Parts: sequence; structure tokens; C-alpha cells
Amino acid sequence: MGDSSDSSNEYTLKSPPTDCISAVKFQPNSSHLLLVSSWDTGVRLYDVNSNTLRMQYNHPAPVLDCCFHDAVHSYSGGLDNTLKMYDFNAAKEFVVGSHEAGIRCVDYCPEVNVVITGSWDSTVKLWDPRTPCGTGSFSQPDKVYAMAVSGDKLIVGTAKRKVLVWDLRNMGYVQQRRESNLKYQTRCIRAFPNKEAYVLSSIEGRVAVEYLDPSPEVQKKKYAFKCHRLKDDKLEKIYPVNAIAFHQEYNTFATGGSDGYVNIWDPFNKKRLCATLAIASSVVDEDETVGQRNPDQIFIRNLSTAETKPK
Amino acid sequence: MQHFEFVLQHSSLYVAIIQHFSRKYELALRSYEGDDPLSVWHSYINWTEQNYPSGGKSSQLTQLLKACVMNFKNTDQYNNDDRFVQIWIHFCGKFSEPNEMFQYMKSKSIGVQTTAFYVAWATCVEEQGDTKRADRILLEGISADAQPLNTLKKYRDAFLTRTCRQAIAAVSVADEPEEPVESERHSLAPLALTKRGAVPADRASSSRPGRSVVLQPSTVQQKQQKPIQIYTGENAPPTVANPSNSNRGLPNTKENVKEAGKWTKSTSKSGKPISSTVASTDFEIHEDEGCGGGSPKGQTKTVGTALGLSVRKRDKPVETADNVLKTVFITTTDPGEIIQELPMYRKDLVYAGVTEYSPEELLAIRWKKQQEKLNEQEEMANKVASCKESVTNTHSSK
Repeated sequence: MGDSSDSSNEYTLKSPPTDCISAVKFQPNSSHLLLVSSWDTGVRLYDVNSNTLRMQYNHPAPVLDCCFHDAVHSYSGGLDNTLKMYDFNAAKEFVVGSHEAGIRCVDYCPEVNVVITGSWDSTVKLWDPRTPCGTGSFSQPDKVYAMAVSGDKLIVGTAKRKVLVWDLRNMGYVQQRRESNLKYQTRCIRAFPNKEAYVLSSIEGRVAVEYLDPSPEVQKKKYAFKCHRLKDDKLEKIYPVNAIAFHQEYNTFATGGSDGYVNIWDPFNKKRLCATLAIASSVVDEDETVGQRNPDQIFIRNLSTAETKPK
Repeated sequence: MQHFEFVLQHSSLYVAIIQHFSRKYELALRSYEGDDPLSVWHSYINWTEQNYPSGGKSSQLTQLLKACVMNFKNTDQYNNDDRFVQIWIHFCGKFSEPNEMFQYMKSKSIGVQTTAFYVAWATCVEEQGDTKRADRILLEGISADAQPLNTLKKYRDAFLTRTCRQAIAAVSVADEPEEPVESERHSLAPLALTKRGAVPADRASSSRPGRSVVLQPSTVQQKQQKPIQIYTGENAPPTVANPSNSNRGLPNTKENVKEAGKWTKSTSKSGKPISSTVASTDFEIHEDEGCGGGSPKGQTKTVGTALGLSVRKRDKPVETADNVLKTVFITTTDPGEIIQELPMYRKDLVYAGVTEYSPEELLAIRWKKQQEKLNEQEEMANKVASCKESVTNTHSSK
């Protein structure tokens, strides 16, 4: 279990993917199983407690996102434009449906019991996990880059910094059309567990906390801050913020950047609680010129209350 | 009704075709691997010119020109490449004051060895009435041995005769030579360079009376106006006359000069408060963008207004040369005392052209290419294997 890292509550998973990791998702309400999708075309299920690779299935092309439906079913999509469902018990995979371009986001909404995919073909599609089959396609203003589920609401981030809020129970119209407060491309959106707000990260070292309630009173509370930047003498390197993950109880969140760091933030006191740990953060390495490929490893760290509780 | 549907169907088909091609070009910008990346940009721009004829200030073409110029601003490879210089000149023409842009080009020694650059600059200066300076620019080009030199010399000769005639016309009040001179200027001035809204309207008015006898007062008027520049002449009257137009005209001029806006506000005229509020909201947004949305003030705005105003933001930097030069070119190229920011991703590829790609899409392009290569290799291997087989077969049959 132990690793070369200094702290004893941190370790790396054995038999990691062989290429960039695109997404890591914990099983709902447990930190026992971890689903990992990768550019090596594989989707892997890890038992975090025993540090073993439980199972693996593959797409014909790199996988960009995955999610749990329940403890024994997972969904995944990627560059092959198809959405796959995998049954852990039967160890069988099914092709559920497809988009016209790569699938960037896959998510599940337990409130409405629906699987959602967002694609570069500028649509969001809903899938009924019971059959499983498609139940609708909804066009978005641009390519979908990020998606988050908040209760029965769906927050979609597209190219050109557009943000749309949909009601998953009534997809007839867009509930809110917004523009990202950040100047550059949206990388990731995640909703607060308290369902009041969401966090949006950009490609150029910035994170915004935004509130869903459109009333001016509430909107006053929103803010943004810089992060994932390394400052040298006269040079500030600004990294994309690729991933966001929330602590389900405290509403604190962690951000993962291309700089290889993970920071934990207290959104209420606007403070950084701690740096460098990995709840579940993927590192996408796209810099060809530097050519430094981060070792594709998954670090598991057991968070202490002190690290995540708002102070 | 049927007819209407037919047209509708075909227009949507047309849109689909256009989108398809534009997507192809966008992809080509990001997947090009040769040593002449400008070629993709150049053909994309040419295609856009043909297919987006509307050409407004925030048009696809302007965005594309800007993106292209930005993309190659730090590479010397194309400084005197005819295609690149033409793109620059075209871009300069999108500004109310192309002069500064030409100066910037010169300071970066872009196009300083091409005739096109000096002719475009001289024409621009000449249009503003400064014929002496125009001649100096042309002379500079000749002494710099701009290529093709012959064309430049010929242009200067034509320019000299033209200005001489004009001077004579102005002095002796002779209307006969005036007519051909005016028409000559029409054909010579590169239309791409001028703003579509402003200049042609002016010229039409100057050339049409030219045919009649009323020519003399109109030309005299023109000459008085010219030193003040066409663009202020165009903008100023509407701000006084129609308040509806002033909404468009004012913020632009005010964004250039902060203080001027405030002074006029405080001093006089009852009609101004409306426009001054417009200007002040513009201000906040502009600064907000500069410091990057991090300031708490910028975020207090409601969603609706943020959307409405952000649409404007887009054409403004393109509008005023000053803004573009300051925000886009100088800040990023200056290695001054301020801490330089270095985005740690392929910003040039993410923001190439007029659409954006995410890092995943860029990776996907690379992955697909690799896959193609692998497939090709496999095919080759198969072919080789089958060839070998057939060879051994023929051998064994012999």
C-alpha cells in the first residue's frame, strides 16, 4: 500500500491506466470503488480499499468521461461518439447510443434517474438507464465542454464561455442563459452539494463561484479568484484548472490543475485550506513543446477533517 | 408558399455547407504540420471573404484577420510575405484610424520591403489630406527598395501628377481637370483599406457633384475638412444632431480618451446626460475585462446586463486602433518590468481562427492522426505480406 510519498495516508493505485486520465469518479455515497476513464481507451474499476483493479472494459477510442449509475452499472463515452453501459455483475458491455461528435461529459442524476451526455456536436442527450435508451436530444449554443448536475438541475458549460441551466424535469426550455465570468475557456463545472451554487474553472488559472438564484441579492455573493499559477522572478506560469471535486458534507472543494497540484478551498471564508492532495483529480497534459508527460498515476489520500472543514 | 419553403430549405442547406467548410478550415488550422502555416490561414481568409460578404465590424472576417495577425505577430518568417502583408493591410482597414496600425507594422518591420505596404499606407494618409506625408512614405518605400520597385515608382508618379493637378485645381479653380483626378483616386484607392461605412459615402458625394458645375465649393470644403480627418467629420455631426446615432458613436470615441468624455459631460448641453450614462457603464465593463473578472465590482452585475454588454465588448477592441495596440500587441510583446504571464497550454491552438477548441479536442486531433498512421502502416504491412505470398506462390508454381 505504502508509497514513496511522505505521508502515510496517501498511496498510489496499482496497475494505473497507460495514458492520460480523463476522469475519476467515486461510487455514490462510498469511497470504496473508483471508476477511471483514460485516453488509453480503457475504463477501469478500482477497489480503493484493497488497492486492486477489479475490472476493465474498452472503447474503440479514448474515453473522455464516465459515471456510476448505481453500484453495479457504469456509463462512459469518448472519441468514438458512443455511450457505453457496463454491467459489473454480468461483466458485459452495451452500446446505449451515440452522438455525432465526441462525447465530452457523462453524468448521472439520481433525482430524475437519468444519464446525461454532453458532446462536441453541441447537444446534450438524456438516457433512461432502465431500458437503457435515449429519451431526448437538446441543442446547445456550442460544443459542450463541461457539465454538472445539481439536484434536478443541469448546468452546461460550452465553448465561447456560455453557461446554461436546464431543468431536467422539463427540458422544454432553457432555465437560464449565462456567460462565464471568467475570460477564458470553461474547463470544468461542479455544483455545490447544497445545490445553491456552482464552481466553474477556466483554462487560464482561475476559478469562479457562482450562484444559481438569479436575484441580484444573491448574485452579489459571487466571486472569482486566481489559482494554479507558478510565479518565478518575472514570469508567471498560468495553468488550466482541469478538475473540481466537492466534499459532500462541508461544501469545501478541491481543484486540480495542469501544474500537478491539488488545492482545497473553503468557499465560505474564501481561504485555501491546503494544497497537494488528490481526491480525484485528472491531469491532462497537452503541452507538446515541453513534452513532460505527468506519470499517469492515481493518488488516493484519506482526508482528515482538519484538511476539509471550513475554518 | 412552396416557393418560400424551397428557398428556406436551400438557405438552410447553404448554411450547413458554409458551416461544414468553416469547420474544416478550423480543423486545418489546428492540424497543419508543414512549414507554411500561413497558407491555411490565407486560404481560410480568402474563403471567408467570399462567403461572408456582410463584413460588419464584428464580422467573422474581422475576427479572423485579427486572429491571424495575432497568431503570427511574433514570428519573423512572414514579415515580408505578400500574403501576410495583404492580411495586415486588410486588418488595418478595419480601424477608424489605420495610421497607427501602419506605424505599428513599420515598428515591427512587417511589410517594410513590400510595395503593397507603402502604397496602402500612403493611400491612407493621402485620404486624410496629408499629401506631403504620403509622398514621404512613398519615398521611404523606394529608398527601402520595396518590391516590386517598379510598381511603387509608377504609383508615386501617378500620385505626384494627381496631387499636382489637385493643387492647380485648388488654386486656379479650374473644374475640368478635377473630374478625372477624382475618378482616378477612386480606382486607385484600395477599397479594402477603407471603412465601408465612412469613406465611400464621402466619396460619392464628392464625385457626383463633380460632374455638375457645383464642384468648386464642394472640393474646397473637402480640403478644409480633410486635415481634421474624415472619421471625426463623419462622427461628429450625428452626435450633435441625432441622439439615436450618438449612442453608437459616442462610446467609441469616449473609450479612447477617458478624460475627454468626462469633461464634456460636466461642461455643457442638456442632451448629454443620456449618452454619458452609456459611456460610464461602458467604462466599468472595459476595466473589468482588463483585470479579468476577478474584481468584485464586475460581478455585482445581473446576468441580463452582463450578456447585453458583453456583445458590445467584442466589436470595441476592433473599433479603435488604440485599444487593440495597447491591450493586444504592446502588452504581450513588451518584456517590460511587469511580470510576464505565460499560459501553460497551447493558447495559439485553442484560440486559433474564430472558434475555440478545448485541449481534449486538440489531443483528439493528434490521436486520430496517429491512428491513421498506424492504419497506414498496417495496410502497408498487409500489402507487403500479400506481395510476399504471391511471390512465393509464383515461385512454388514454377
